[in-house]
Amino acid sequence: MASSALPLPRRRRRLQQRQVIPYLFVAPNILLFLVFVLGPVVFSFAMSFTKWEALSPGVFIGLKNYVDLLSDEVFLTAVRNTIFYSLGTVLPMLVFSLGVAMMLDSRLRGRTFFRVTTYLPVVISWVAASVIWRLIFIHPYGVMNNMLSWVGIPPQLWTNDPYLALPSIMFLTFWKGLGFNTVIYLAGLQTIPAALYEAAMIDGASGGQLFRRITLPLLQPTTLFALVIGIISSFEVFVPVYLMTGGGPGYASMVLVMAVYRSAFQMYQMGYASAISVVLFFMILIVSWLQFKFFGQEVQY
Amino acid sequence: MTGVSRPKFSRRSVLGILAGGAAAALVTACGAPAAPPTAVPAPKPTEVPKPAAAPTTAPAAATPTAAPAAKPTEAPKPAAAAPTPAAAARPLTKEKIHLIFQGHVAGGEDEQKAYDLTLEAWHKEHPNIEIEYAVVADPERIQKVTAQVAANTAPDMWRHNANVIRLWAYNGHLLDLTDRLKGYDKLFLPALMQYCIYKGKFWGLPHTTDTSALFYREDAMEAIGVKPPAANEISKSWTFQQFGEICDKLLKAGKQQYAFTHNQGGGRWIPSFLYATGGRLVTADFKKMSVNTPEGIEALKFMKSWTDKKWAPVSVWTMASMRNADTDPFCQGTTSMGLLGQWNITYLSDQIKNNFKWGVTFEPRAKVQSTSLGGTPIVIWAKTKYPDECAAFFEFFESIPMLRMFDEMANYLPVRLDLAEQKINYKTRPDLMAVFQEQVKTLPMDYVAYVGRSYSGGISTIVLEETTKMMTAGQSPEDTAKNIDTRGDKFIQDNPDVEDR
Repeated sequence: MASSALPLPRRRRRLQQRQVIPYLFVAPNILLFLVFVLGPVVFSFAMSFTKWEALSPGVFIGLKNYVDLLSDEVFLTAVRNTIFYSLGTVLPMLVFSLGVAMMLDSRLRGRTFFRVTTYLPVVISWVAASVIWRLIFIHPYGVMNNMLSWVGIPPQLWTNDPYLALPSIMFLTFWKGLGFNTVIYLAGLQTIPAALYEAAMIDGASGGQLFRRITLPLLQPTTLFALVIGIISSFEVFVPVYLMTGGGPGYASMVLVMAVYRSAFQMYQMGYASAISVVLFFMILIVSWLQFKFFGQEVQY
Repeated sequence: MTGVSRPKFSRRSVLGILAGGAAAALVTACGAPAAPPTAVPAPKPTEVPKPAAAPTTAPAAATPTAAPAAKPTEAPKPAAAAPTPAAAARPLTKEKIHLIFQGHVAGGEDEQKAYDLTLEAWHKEHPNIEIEYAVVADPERIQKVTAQVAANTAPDMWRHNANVIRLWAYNGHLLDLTDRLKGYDKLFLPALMQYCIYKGKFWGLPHTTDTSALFYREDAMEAIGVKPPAANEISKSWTFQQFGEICDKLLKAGKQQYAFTHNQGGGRWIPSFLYATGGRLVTADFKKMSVNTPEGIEALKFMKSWTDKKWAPVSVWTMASMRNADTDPFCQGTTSMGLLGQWNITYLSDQIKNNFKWGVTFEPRAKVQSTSLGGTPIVIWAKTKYPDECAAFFEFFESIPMLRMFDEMANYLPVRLDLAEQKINYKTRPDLMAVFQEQVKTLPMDYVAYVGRSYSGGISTIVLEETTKMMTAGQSPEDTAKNIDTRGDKFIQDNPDVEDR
């Protein structure tokens, strides 16, 4: 090799350059990550051990914020609601979006039209969607109550009912998120070689067997992706809660990010809000790790 | 923030400024006091007030002073406690600068117009000091300015919340106005000035104050044969029981779906009715909550009947804000009455037009008549590059002609003592304002003192959350009172008032 002819110090210098240059390429990204992602995360972690009112330097109080969380009814409700919201939106959405994706992957008439309409809610902003759905649910003259009256059901309070407030938000999330997962599944379905289906059909496999033995296993990476993204985003839900119920009535629809906002900007307890953020961070970390551990093995044929 | 150009000083300009300053000081010291802002006749609400009262570069001219007794439409004679003219000159910059004044518009279009007219008048007087009124949504304005202060990018001036001024002053984010606006603390209603004062200094000035009363449709009242008490009949105001009977009659008459609507979240009604029953939010020493008493439970029981008996639409209780969701049921004919504020009048008038006739009477009472406190003070950021210019703008903004114009256009109650003594020619439904002027006199001073406590913002959130649970989730008034006290006591213990730290 030509480089072997070079004197030793020069070779070493070139080698060093080769080692440094890749880092220079990724440096801007790493810098942004450090400043805008890792920095705030570390700062938030540090703040969680302080009593800080946002307007003054924090005072170190050790684990008091975390101890207080254990007996805080609003926080505990937020944890329960976040888990309920997450399970209640992500799992049904995966099932439904797979079904819709399979329909859209078939030789359906007007397939393009259905693909567009399925994806349309995804491009609507969360703010606009939340306002629209709040009007749809508004008591007593919202569209939803109007539709219920056609079948003789009395008007419901929806976002004002402590038992229906969170499900109302979940309904919006389902409507808005279905298109995204459908497209993900559609892409996944199109990567499955047709030859596998043909071979299985020659062997006499039924439709159900094709789905169970080929489609589902080969969609495992797609499902994992949709599951991880879905769970993380469901844990971080804020906009529809803020705009549709504000976490109420009372704190019936309080979720963790809303609880962070409430503590920070309504109660001026930045340290306490940071402690909730840290708990949320570890919840997402653990759930994501569990998902990779149990669903992360790729299937090969 | 936001100075478009930094002042550049040459040796010549510095000498010039010094000479000018010395001359101005000499003139101020030797000359007769210039005309105070109170001597300017009141402009018509739709006109730009004459800026003669605006502070000039020699602000002594703009400081309120003794003035002859005023006719109702003229500027008033200041109260005896009015400040003497400030001796120090305040040379304002000659540079072209841009200041941000951040706030919200709570009422209708006329309130926005009132801001526009104020700034128009200011810019005529001070073309180089451009002030922009940056409008932010009411529910987010404190969050936004908190983030701005934390990021060191706060506006120069903003409309603040009464319950956090002292907390912000304690943390050093507000400009101390005591020396810059000498004597101004004596100009305003003491109840409103109270929450601007911390450690004997004042850190903001009241700009608007408001209160609530009971709006009603005249046809609905005629239908049930009831004549609501007029402005001079506060002693005949309806008791909780009478109010309930009227609500039942209205529902029975069936003209409207609900008896009444009320301001969003209903948060402001809790203290109002609590004090009406003889209860109070916190103990006399402001150290502990005091809702879990027979009086407190009586007030909560009254409120619970609103939704239990379907007098009011429960949808108003949602905590998420949707503009006008509280007023629209009254405008659109869904309710016969509305427990609303006087700042809503411009919006109601815009919306109702001639669809039906409407009037206003007093809030329901129990042992005593009571009401809630509203309004917005204005403050200056401690780190503004232009404190003198901001202070000069506050002098202008709070001058009699400007305040009068603002109140007349946007239907606010006057905050200045001297203006409170005068007749205000409200542009929209002036016939209704007498009720509010009477109603505001029933504001409990204990409650005003509580609002100024730095913990009151957090307590309000707790009170609202628990009361909403009572109104929508069936929580009993007894449990609601108990929960408010338990959670509130913990909050006060963890976040004592700034004076107690």
